Amino acid sequence: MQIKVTRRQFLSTAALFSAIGVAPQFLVRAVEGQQREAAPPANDKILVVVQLGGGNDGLNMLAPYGDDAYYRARPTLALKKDRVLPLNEYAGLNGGMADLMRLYDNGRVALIQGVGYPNPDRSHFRSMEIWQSASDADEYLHTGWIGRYFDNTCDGSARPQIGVAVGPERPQAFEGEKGFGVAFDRPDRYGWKPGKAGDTAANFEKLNRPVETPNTTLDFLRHTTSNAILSSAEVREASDRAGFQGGGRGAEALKTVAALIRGGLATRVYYVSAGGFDTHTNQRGQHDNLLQRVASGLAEFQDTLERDGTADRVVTMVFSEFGRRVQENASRGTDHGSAAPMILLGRGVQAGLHGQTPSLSDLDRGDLKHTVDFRSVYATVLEKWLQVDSAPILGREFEILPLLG
Amino acid sequence: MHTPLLDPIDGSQWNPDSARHLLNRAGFGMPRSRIQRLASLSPVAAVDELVEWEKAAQPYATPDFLTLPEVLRELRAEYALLDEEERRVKSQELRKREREAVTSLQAWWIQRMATTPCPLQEKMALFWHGHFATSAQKVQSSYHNFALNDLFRQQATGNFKSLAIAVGQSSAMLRYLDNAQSTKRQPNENWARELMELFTIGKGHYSEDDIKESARAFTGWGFDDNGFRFREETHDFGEKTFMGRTGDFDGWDIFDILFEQPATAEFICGKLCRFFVREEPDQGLVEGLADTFRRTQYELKPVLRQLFLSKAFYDPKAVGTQVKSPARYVVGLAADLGVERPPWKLMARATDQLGQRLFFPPNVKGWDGNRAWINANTLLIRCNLPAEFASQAARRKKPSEDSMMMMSEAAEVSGAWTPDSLLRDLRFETAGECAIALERHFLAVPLREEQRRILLQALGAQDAAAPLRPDAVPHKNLLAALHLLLSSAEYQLC
Repeated sequence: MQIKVTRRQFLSTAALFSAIGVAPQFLVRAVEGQQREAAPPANDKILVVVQLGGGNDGLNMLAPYGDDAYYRARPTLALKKDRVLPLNEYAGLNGGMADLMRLYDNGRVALIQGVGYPNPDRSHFRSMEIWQSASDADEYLHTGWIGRYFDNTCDGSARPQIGVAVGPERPQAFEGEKGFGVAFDRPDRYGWKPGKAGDTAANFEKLNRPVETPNTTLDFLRHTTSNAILSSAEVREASDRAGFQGGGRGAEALKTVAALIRGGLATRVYYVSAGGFDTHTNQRGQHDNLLQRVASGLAEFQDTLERDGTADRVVTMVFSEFGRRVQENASRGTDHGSAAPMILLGRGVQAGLHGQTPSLSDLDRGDLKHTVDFRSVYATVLEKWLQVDSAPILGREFEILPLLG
Repeated sequence: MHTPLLDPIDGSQWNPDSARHLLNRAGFGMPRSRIQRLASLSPVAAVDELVEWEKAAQPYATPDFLTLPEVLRELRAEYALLDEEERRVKSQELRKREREAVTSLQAWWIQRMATTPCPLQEKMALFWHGHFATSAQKVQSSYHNFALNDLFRQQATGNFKSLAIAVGQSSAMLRYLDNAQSTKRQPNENWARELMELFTIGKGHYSEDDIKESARAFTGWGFDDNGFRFREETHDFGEKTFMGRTGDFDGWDIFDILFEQPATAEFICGKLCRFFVREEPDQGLVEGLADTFRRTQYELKPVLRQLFLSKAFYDPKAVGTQVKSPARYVVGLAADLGVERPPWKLMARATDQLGQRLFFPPNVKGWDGNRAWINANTLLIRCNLPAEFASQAARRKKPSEDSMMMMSEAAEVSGAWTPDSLLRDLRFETAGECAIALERHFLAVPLREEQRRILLQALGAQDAAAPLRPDAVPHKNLLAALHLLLSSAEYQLC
């Protein structure tokens, strides 16, 4: 049932494309890479991005329980002191995040406080776009920061699955000029199923061979098919090697990521997305549960990496498009806000609490003022973990923070 | 304002291809008989037949699997007498039943899309579902979900302002964007923000203060079992300043002011153009339609009629360049294959796998559409679906997830659907003509010669001139050719 793209098929395919001069760039480079027995990549580090969609309430994740202003602003929502896992006398993690606390105590977790950007946008979509494209608030970029990382640094041996989003959507962060990055839910279902007559895998591939046409959508579809054929065989092989079956969404998708890393898939960035954080009403129980799932998902992921011996190669970064209003609303929920903490997880991180705690009294329209630009965190991850120049990817220099290494 | 893009096409440009394009976009792709019928009319009469859909509308019953408000009221009274543990169990059962009802509702809607005599009505209902998006993830009453869906159906092509207000007063929206819980003491901004950002004037035409002030104006808009209710006791009667005007505004005033802003017409017409015409419509087209929209006080029919008759709609830049939405894709698949009793539940599940879970849009922005439907994964699912679909249609029973049959095996099973029903409509005498006939039947864009050769090979023919008659095509070969054809990039377009 599996479509194995052998080296020979690869070469013949690419030769044909080259002859007519319209081979997709990554395919040509993929094959050239194979021919010269691909030089080892600059490093073998992996970044896992976890997106918490909807606007995660940072103040109830990393609670300023030592500040009376917190309890005044949130009479029903504030975490009581016995529901906080203290990091110091002022701040503590939500009591549901005991699994993450264990990793924190083991020196695996960096918490970065007050992350945001100037002139924060309170629209989910625009703010998510800003985070994914790493733009200024008034700047519109059609590429994503991870896509630009691929465009800038990938050499000839790169495959479309250099970026893998485990989930139904390919994130805007992957958008780039060269079309790297794929998305899928379950590795075992990722592939075209040939039939037993003339509907062979070879014919499927031939039928969808990329040939430029004036119909650019058709072009786009054919390139996506090529990406799918190339990547799906290797994804299934990696998941087979890892002895992995199935796959879930949200924090569950981290199990799939751990398996693909164990199976040796040539992927530099994994992307996982969990939703439900838009807690405008009756936030408490809901949000505690969400955080509990995130914490246990992250902890299980990290434990698996440690067990598999892959933990040295992986850093996980958790973000949300914004935090929430300091003052709770009448529905025992919170409205869209601005700055919030980010989490970095892994053996490579400088564990502890980073950045300046945002003030609960000096607010901007009821929202926290950010103290760290999220692009500083991206720049640090790019420079210190993925070991590339960040300025060409992020458009300019951002402060490098002592988060890694 | 005059733009040549909005000039109507004339009768000499009207043919089966344009009729097919119209049905592809204004409907879900339809049987050949309907295409031929529309092609035989004048363009004006053909477009009118779709836009004046009320003339062909047939009554339909409210689905019987919903929990109606009166039933819910009785259940609540009943639960009140139970102890806490019993009540917990009963409530859990109810929630499960409601979830199943929404699943049934998905299949119910897919069936309507496929069988309605009024395709534009359902296509517009789908447009509004994406525009005024609410999700059953949060709105857990099957009846509230149905009621909003049916509002989209009833007012599919009516007046946009009336529709927007009715949506704002629907239990589903009041629940989804939390306005039902917004009070003068602490107004909830969720509805006010999305009303402006996504539903009417669009980003860039309002300020954060406009959101805060209009949220105050909407306080008191809530619902109970009988539907919309204005709760005076929680409404903020104070003075508000909204879009430069000051007064003791309520929700109705906010709608009035919003619909005085020119930006609303352009925002909605731009979205209609992207939905019906192409991803990047000419600004002139959008502005021309917006002009009509404003002139008619937001009536939808004049805009749609003008759009479907325009040269821009039938331009090569538009025809065959749109990625079929998952709903359009699965409904069209059944029609293209000539399946008389399609597996509705499988089709509803498939739209989910393909990224369009009906009644569960990913967020309040709805679905981005077009290229956003496609990534390596969803594309492969699309390519694998027809084989599964054909085998189920052939078997007419529930398959286990693991025993999916390939299309070439489906023919071996006796059952409801065979490719014979498809062949009856096609005329050919050689293998080459057969391949072309299949191509013309399934695709809105032509194949290249080398692609046609692959189909010929799958049909078991040495060359195009080999004699082949409809009653003599081995099913195995035909299904292999279909499997490939439906796995082509071209089949994703309409």
